[in-house]
Amino acid sequence: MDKNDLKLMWREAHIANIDNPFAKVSIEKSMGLKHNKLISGALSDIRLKLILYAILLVIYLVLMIYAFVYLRLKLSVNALVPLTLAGIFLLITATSEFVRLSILTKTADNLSLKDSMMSFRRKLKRIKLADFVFCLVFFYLLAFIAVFNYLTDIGGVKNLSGATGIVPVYLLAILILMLLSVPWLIKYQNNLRYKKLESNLKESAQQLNVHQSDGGL
Amino acid sequence: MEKEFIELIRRHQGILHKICNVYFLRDPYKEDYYQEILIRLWKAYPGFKNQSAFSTWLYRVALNTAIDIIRKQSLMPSHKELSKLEYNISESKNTTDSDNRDKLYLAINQLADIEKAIIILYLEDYNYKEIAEITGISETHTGVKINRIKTQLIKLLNHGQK
Repeated sequence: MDKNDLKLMWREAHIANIDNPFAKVSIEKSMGLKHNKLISGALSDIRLKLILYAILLVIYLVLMIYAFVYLRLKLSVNALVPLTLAGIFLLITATSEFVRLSILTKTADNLSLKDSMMSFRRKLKRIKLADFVFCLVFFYLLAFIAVFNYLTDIGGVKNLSGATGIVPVYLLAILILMLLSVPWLIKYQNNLRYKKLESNLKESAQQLNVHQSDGGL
Repeated sequence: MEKEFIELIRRHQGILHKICNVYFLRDPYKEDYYQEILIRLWKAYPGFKNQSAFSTWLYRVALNTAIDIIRKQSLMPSHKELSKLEYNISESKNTTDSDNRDKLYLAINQLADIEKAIIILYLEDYNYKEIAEITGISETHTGVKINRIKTQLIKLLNHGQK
């Protein structure tokens, strides 16, 4: 087959009057929709999860503030660790659903394929960076507060080596290490989650001849 | 504006059918994706400023939407990917119009997303300048790209494998 036969083959293939395969889809009805049923359903699922986690997170925060600020409750490490882990879990799940929803709803259809791809890539990069910075600030702040409170409780750095601490130093060190590594773990998890999307964008960028100098990369 | 849009879409419906066939050939959700393209076209319609032909604008938005749907499929909760290996094009034996069409679509379906967009525009008789305008790549590069895709497509049609 010759290269020029392709157009002929394409034309011949479309000469026959085929029935409209999408006759069931009404243009008028579609115009009143935000998304089709399938995508709407998927987005609703994510929204529902996001709302659920956000509500649980708010309840958790209110309870924590009530217990530690209003009632001035003093809990042992054994009780604090699971409470902290529950809060971290709720925060991570809520933010990851929020990020997923933000990525899925970003579009730039009126631009050329190249500009649209680059615009989406920039948005994806911004969303991922914002998520990472938020987690970084939050968990590093939490680590700082934990160290500060510990030092206040034992009466300063000079007592660090002594046995005056309410919590052994190694336990605190493990907790701090955990808190400091969470943002990086989230970054790693996000890279895994968006791997397919990223590789698709990379392939598109290669096809569209996008260079570093074009921006968006 | 609504009536005008409906009329224009009815007139250019064939373009949308071709795009859906190229991108979602054997996808069970083809109809849903067709509807999503319609919805996104209507949303983008206020941005159509008659600077280009309606069909050119239609191609740009519809191709962007189709590629966007494929790109984001992995993030959808109900994601179900169809293996590209399902499309074994060398099995066709009859040479009727319909079979030729299927054979051609099956071959195009094996190309990368952007290559599909370029080849569909080429087959629809768009010139390099228009293709460059829709895709965003330079005219020179468009020519090179088309030649490469055509060679690849011929290979696929002759041998059925990438």
